[in-house]
Parts: sequence; structure tokens; C-alpha cells
Amino acid sequence: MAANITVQSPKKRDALDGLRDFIYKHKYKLISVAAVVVLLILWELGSIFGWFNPKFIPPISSVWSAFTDTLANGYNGYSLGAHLWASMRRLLIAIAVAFIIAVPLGLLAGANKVVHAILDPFIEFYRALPPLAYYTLLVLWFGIGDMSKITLLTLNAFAPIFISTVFSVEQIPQDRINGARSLGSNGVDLFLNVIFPSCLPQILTGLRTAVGVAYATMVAAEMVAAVSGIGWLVLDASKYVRYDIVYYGIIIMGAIAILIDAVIRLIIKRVTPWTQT
Amino acid sequence: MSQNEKRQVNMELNHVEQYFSQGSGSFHALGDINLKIYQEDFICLLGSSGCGKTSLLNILAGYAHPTSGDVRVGNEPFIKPNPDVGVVFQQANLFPWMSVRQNIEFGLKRKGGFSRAERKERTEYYMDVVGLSKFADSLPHQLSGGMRQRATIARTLAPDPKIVLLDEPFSALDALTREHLQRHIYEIWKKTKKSFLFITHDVDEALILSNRILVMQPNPGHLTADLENPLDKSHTGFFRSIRETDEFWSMREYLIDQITTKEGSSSTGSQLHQLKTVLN
Repeated sequence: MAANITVQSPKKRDALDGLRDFIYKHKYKLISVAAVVVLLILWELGSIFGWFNPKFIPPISSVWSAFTDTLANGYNGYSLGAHLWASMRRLLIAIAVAFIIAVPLGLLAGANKVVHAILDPFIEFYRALPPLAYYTLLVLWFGIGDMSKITLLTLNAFAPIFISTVFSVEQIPQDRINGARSLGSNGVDLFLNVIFPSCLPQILTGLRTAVGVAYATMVAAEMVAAVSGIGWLVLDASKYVRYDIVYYGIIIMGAIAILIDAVIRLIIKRVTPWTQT
Repeated sequence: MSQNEKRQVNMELNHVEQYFSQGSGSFHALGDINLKIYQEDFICLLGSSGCGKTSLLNILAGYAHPTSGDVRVGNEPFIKPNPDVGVVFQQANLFPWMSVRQNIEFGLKRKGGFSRAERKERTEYYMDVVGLSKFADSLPHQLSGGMRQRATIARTLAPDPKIVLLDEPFSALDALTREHLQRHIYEIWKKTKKSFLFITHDVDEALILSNRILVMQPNPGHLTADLENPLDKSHTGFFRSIRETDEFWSMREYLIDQITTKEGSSSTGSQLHQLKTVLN
């Protein structure tokens, strides 16, 4: 009998359902957040109960107060923001210069095997060197200021962008180029409106790699020779046994790296949506 | 064929030979190809894989130059790709960063001679012809494989080429989509009456679509048969009924023989004679 069948009317959704949906949707992110929180709690508990030497691992609370202290009073006469900006400025200029040189050169080398053969040995050689090995030379040439650092980072960022650009040209489907030619495109038009956009996804991937390696090199270079920047701040603090500062400095470095990468991924998604299928 | 001589020749190949260097020697890819493509031809070029279809297509499209012989479009020597010869590839090769509309406009902008209003009108018209008006602003990766191939067809037709080359355009699609697009391309041809040269290895597809069939054999690639498709396609709905005719099946057998027989086992002439007896 039809009367035996009870039809459940849809339950009214309340705030708790909304929360449940949120947790379900973001469960893996929430697990990641929880893991970090647990580590921070263990860190604090460990310092309180003396599980480890607070000289080497100061409690998270004192790392935090060192951080707020620097925020309020600066470090070595410069605000924290100024130190970060000093680092970011070097990185941004270097990446911009590297991009402007590496992309056209990469497109050229990808399209012309002679150009590639001329450039290849130099790029392969210096790419394999640890950047700090030739940094001493750059300091000799350009002094200890920003010029030597920007040059170092530019060289460092150049190789990944160049190599991925060359590769991207080689990867363009021949059918796409032939199709464009049959539609009346050739020369500069073909290059700018078909070849370049075809290469863009891989160029941007190269850019992402370049920013990663240049960032690491930047911190190292600031530790070798500088009077400002986040890398210098950490090294300088360690000389005065201010490990609370060293810790927050490292945490900031990591956070910035994650942030930069997230921004680049966002740009990639915006500029080349067709690669995100 | 005296009747043909009155019709407009859109493309002509005379004694086309193609050699590729291969190590120290050379590979004879195409041998003495002679071909006239007329207005309103819907040619299907049949051949097994490796018989030189792609080499021939590259010459017809202007992507490669024959080692000897000449190629003419209209009455002009054909030396590089140009909008008079449109090409539809096996895989849709739309520009992934452009919407369907922008893809179709790409060729129109480059051909010149179209005003802004004409460009817009032609774009809208061809989007309608392939049934993609609703997807004008979609990017290719948002479309299905069949829709992408339809967009490619619209992009190729929009600048009004004299000849349309289609290189196994449906072979990467599933069977249902393929049949749908076969009907579609036939309708488009009926509407536009351009010269179509459709490369395929599917004999059924060739019989259903074409009004003229070329058969190609390898070593070196050369044309072994050039015949009018005798099947009656005057009535609507022939797509369904054409397979029910005896003619269809005897033509099918004949063409399969043509594609697969080794050269020399029988001459083309006697095979044509054979065909005529089969059909009568």
C-alpha cells in the first residue's frame, strides 16, 4: 500500500550542517592546519617542561615576543618591513630582468638551432655551479651592494626560464603552426600571436622554478655579504645568540616562499586557464 | 571525362614527385601524381597507412614542396600555405587561449578584404553552421572533442577557401560523434559547394561522403584509381538507406581490393572493367 511508504521531507538545514559541509570540503587542509598547531603546542610544552635546551630551541612564546618587538622597534635601525622590502626588491628586479632577457633569447634559441648551440655550453656550465661559487667574483666586480646580488639572482633565475622557453618552442604541435599558416599567419604575426602564447604555459612554469631558486640564493647571498634583508637579519641575530629572532626569521622566510608561490600559481591560472583542466 | 573539362579546376598537380633523403640514400615518397580538383568535388582519398597520404597532404596544403612537378591553385603556382587552401587536421588544432569566436575570426582578420561587419557576420554564420553559436565565448578546453572539431571546420571555412583539405578529421572521435559529424560535413559541403578533399582509410566513410574517390598505393605513393562515386545520394535520408543497397557493398568490396591488392596482380584498367560488370 502506498500509505506504507513514508516520504522523508528534506530536513531543514541549520548552521551545524553548514559547518559539517565546510569541514568535509576542506578536510585535508584542516588536517594540515591541525598538524602545524600540534607541532607548535609540542614546541611550547617542550620548552616549559625542559624537554630540550631553551638556548637552542627557545619557547614559541619568546619567539613571538621577539617578533612583536622587532615589529615595534625594528632591527639594527631598520624596521622589519624595510628588511623584507630590501630582500623582495632584489628578488623582483632580478626576476624581471631575467624574464625580459631569457624569454626572447629562449624563443630565438628554440626556433634556431645555431643560436641554441652558441648559448648552450655557457648556460649549461654556469647553471651547474653553486651560485655562491661565482658570487665572490660578482662582489669583486660590482661591490657588496645591491648590484652584485641582483646580478647573482638574475643569472640564477635566467637558466630555468631560458631552458623552459627553449623546450616550450620545441613542444609546440606542428599542426597548430601549420594551421595558423594556412589561415594566413606568418612571420612576426605567427611569432607573436601563435608561437608566443603557445609557449606561455611552460614559460610561466619556468618562471615559477626561477623564483624558487632565486629566492633560496638570495637568502644565502644576504648571509654571505649584506647589511640588510631577511637573510642578513637571521645571520646577524645568530652572532648575538638571539635564537628567538633566528627562529621567527626562518618562519617568515618559509611563509614568504609559500606566499610567492601561491601568487605565481594564481597568475598561471589566470593567464593560461587552458592548462588547468 | 569530357564533362569535367567544362568545370572549374581549383587545384592541379602535374607530375608531382617527392623524395626524402634517408641516411645516405633517398626515399621515394610520391611518384608521378597527376590530379585535378574541380569545383564541387567532394573527393575522398583512400589508402592504407604509410601509403603517402600525409606526404601528399603536405604538398596540397603547401607545407612541403615537391621534389619535382608543379602545383597550381586557381591558375597561380602554389608555393606556400595560404587561405585559398584550408586544412582541417586529425586532431582539432584550435588556439587554446582563444574563444571559439576568436578562433574563427583569426583567419578572417588575416585574409583581409572583409570589413569588420562582414567578419562578424561570417563568424556568426559559420558558428551557426556548425551549431556552436551558444559556445561562442567558450575556450576550446571547455568543449567536447566533437565540438572542437566542428569549431575547427568553421574556422577553416570562414575565410572562404577554394579548397578544403580534411586529414582524417573524424578518426580520433568516438563512433557516434563521427557519424554525427559525417552528416554534418556532408550538409556543409552541400551548402557551400566548395572543393573538399577528405583523406580517410575508412571505406564506408568514403562511400557515404564523396562524389569522387581516389585510391592511393605505396612505394612510391601514387594514385591507382580515380572514379566517380556511383551511389545515389539525391534523396534525403540516404545516410540510413545507403548501406542497404547492393551497390554499396559491391563498391565497398571493390575499393578494399583496390587498396590492398599488390601492384601488378591486375591492371587498373581491367579492374575498372570488373567494377562496371559488377555494377551492371
